[in-house]
Amino acid sequence: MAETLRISQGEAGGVTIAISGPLDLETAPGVWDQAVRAATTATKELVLDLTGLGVCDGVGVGLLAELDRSAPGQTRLDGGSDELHELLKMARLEKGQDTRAPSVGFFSSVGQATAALLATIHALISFTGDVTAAIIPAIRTLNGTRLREILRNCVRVGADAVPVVSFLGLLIGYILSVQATKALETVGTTSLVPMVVGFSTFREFGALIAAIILAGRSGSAFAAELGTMKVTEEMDAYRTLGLNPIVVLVIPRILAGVIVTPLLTIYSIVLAIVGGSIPLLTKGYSFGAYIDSVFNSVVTADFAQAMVKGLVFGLLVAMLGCFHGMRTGRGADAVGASTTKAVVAGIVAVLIADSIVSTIFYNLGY
Amino acid sequence: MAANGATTPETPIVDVRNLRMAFGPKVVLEDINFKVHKGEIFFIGGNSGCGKSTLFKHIVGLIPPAAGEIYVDGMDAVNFTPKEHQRLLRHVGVSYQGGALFSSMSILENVCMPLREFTDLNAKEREAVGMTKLSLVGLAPAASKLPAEVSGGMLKRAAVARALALDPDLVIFDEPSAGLDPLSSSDLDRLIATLSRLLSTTFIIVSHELRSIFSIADRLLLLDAARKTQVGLGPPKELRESSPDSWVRSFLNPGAAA
Repeated sequence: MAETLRISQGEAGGVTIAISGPLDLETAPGVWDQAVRAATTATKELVLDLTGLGVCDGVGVGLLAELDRSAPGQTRLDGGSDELHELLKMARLEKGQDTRAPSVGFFSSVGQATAALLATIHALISFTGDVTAAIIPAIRTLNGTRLREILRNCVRVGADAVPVVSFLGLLIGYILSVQATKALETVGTTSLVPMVVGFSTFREFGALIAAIILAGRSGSAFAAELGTMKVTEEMDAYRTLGLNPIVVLVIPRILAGVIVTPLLTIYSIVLAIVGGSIPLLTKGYSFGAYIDSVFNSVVTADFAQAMVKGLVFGLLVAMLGCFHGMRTGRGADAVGASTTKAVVAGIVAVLIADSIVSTIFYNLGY
Repeated sequence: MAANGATTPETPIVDVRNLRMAFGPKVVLEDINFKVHKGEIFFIGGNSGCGKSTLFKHIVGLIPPAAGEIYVDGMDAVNFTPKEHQRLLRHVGVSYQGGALFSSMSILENVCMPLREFTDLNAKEREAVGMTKLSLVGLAPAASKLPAEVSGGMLKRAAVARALALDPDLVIFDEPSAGLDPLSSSDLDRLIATLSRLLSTTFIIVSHELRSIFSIADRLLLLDAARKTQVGLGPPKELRESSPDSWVRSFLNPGAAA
């Protein structure tokens, strides 16, 4: 506690608060509420009597400034050093000035979120237009450097993803096979397991595995790279050099996604089929018979479906990664936010596209 | 002599003795000796690559020097336990080149953060103290804004307010003028001089901005990357006029050298 906090109410809204002894981190919190309450009743004049004030640190100055702010009337200082007077003058806010962010109600929050969503959709449409418009210039200006950039991205998106796609493909195939065996055992038709594995990997899981790996590895990497380039103004440097960042940076990444994802899809299908054979080999199936059964159960349309999905998923994930990278704001957390958005948006878009493509193929009779 | 006359040469707030800075086998600086007195505005200057930013990191114990002793307010800044380092850092506020404000927090939250972590003040009290610090640097109207929403000059001032949050005895500034226009830079210089006078806070400023040095520095430590040592220590005008070292005189008077 400060040694003394003496409050005297004068006539007609005048209040005097006399503080003696130290007013600092130790003592100020003990008298804070009492002093502020008294200051708010000073409708005419608040007199801060500082003649007996001892050490006054930043917290003490904070309390004195708060008393000044809280008093509806004028504030007068009695005593205190010239430095303290000057500090309080600098620290003075307009009476009743509230600089805190206004609180946002429920309906305002919903409105703001809707506006932000619409702005994102608008920006995505605009970005799609920019990318489409940049395809021709990108082809026209295709040179060794750009080709190397596309190949570099293909290696990063595709070749570098091979180990994890192999692992995931094998595991998904194995799990599918185990679960199908268990289900079909109950009706005595385990011979249909190769068909289930082949059908589901060709039509669904091959492309999905490739797309999810792409979203987790490359979509996020695209967003982080482009986002960092935006934060460090490299993007502006491209523009001021007369180069369109969409042509130089975005198109090579999207092309890499579109070229590599169908290839990764084929690779993951092969690995899933191999993984699916493991439970059956332990039950005495021969590998040759298993492979025959798998390929007898799928048709060209299934392969076509896998390729269409691979192409569409690759396009969506790469585009959304680049889109969120290009929309990165300022500050350290902006790149992290863009990366997260790129991965989440990529996976959601892949699942939506998957349902649409599957429905189209089904309605076409495949 | 400090501008506010608070200098007491017998109790330096920073005491650096025989400091040697090295990155592996590569020696950057050696034989560095200086004292900073309480209430002083002390500049560390020198040419690019002379190690002045590394020197400030040695002072706050972020990087250990290759050899030598550093005392901050009597505390050993070279050999310390984590607890002792925490105690040392409570006496020091640091303002980095780009402000280094936490981008997910508002300006006010940035200033209140040290108060939240290291004091028992409640939210209302923290906010009042934080607003007072922001008012001192003229940033109260921007309290609720995010760092990304304010200008470079405002970021630097917000960083000063955060560095002052816990009433440190010593505030270290790394290149405060970097990226600022001359007017904003002058405003910042004036702010530092005013705060030094009113709060009796010691400021160590790492900068090679001659205009700032000559307008607010009490003393200057000048480092030379080529000779890998300090080549001048004293009031900047004295160094410019009467340093025995011609490099010092020409560094501080580039127009005449040209």
